[in-house]
Amino acid sequence: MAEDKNIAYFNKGFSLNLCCKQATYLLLKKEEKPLSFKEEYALKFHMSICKLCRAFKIQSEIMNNAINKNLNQMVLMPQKEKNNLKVLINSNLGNI
Amino acid sequence: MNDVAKEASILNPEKWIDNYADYLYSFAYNRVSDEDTAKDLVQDTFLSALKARSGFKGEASEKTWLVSILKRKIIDLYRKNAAHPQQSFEESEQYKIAYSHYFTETGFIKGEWNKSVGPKPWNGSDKTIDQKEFKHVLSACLGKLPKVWSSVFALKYLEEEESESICKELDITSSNYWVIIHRAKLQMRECLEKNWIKA
Repeated sequence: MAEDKNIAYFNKGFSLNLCCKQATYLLLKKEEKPLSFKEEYALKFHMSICKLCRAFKIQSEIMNNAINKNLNQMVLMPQKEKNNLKVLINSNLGNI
Repeated sequence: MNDVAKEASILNPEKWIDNYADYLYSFAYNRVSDEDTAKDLVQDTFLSALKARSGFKGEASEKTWLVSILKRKIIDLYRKNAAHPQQSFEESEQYKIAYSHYFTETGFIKGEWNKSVGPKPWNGSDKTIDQKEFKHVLSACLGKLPKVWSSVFALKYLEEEESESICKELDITSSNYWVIIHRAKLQMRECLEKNWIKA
């Protein structure tokens, strides 16, 4: 997948105008690492005027929370598998 | 070695199943969404741990140490999937929804949300997030991503995995990484909105 030109161009150009495609891209990047000064400034401005991207931001956070919650759910290992594993571990305890 | 340190570095393999099997199984299952794969991962983890136990220094707890071995195995699995996706290239292309589906490519201003797919408010979604139904919709939506994307997506949530290390693990450039995250999230968002969130 080639890098998306639309997004790459923003950093090379002088304009501070972001479209929604660039803004949502930067929003997700910002969840993980600090943006450049220019990116930060442009994003702040876009968010102040774009209702849809504000909704996207909230929903992205809801998704993050939900996925993290989902990753911490307890799922029991079937007893049969546990018994098999116990036998396996015990048989390997001696020879290693 | 003093007594405390000695105590800390003792492992109890006889009790591993009773103490950690459910925890490790949950950890694996929630990340690979397949019972057999999760079971194999846990088994491999215990076997590797047995082989490596003379190297256990007691710097981390027994549980943390086992989890770190399991994590390594999950990352290896993701990496394998990314390098040799079970999906063919054509198949994986079918799973990808083009940017042009979400954002305008013509007109006065390019890159605006297409009206029909722009985010709609998710009313009360915080409260409904515990619903059982959600888990199914979430897994179903994750399942609709191309395999390589879901590997990247899963690694992102694998506890504090940094984007740089994910790129290294999966052998992708960092700009590809952000594009994958972007497109995967757009796709997930729309899928959730269609199937679960009653806006």
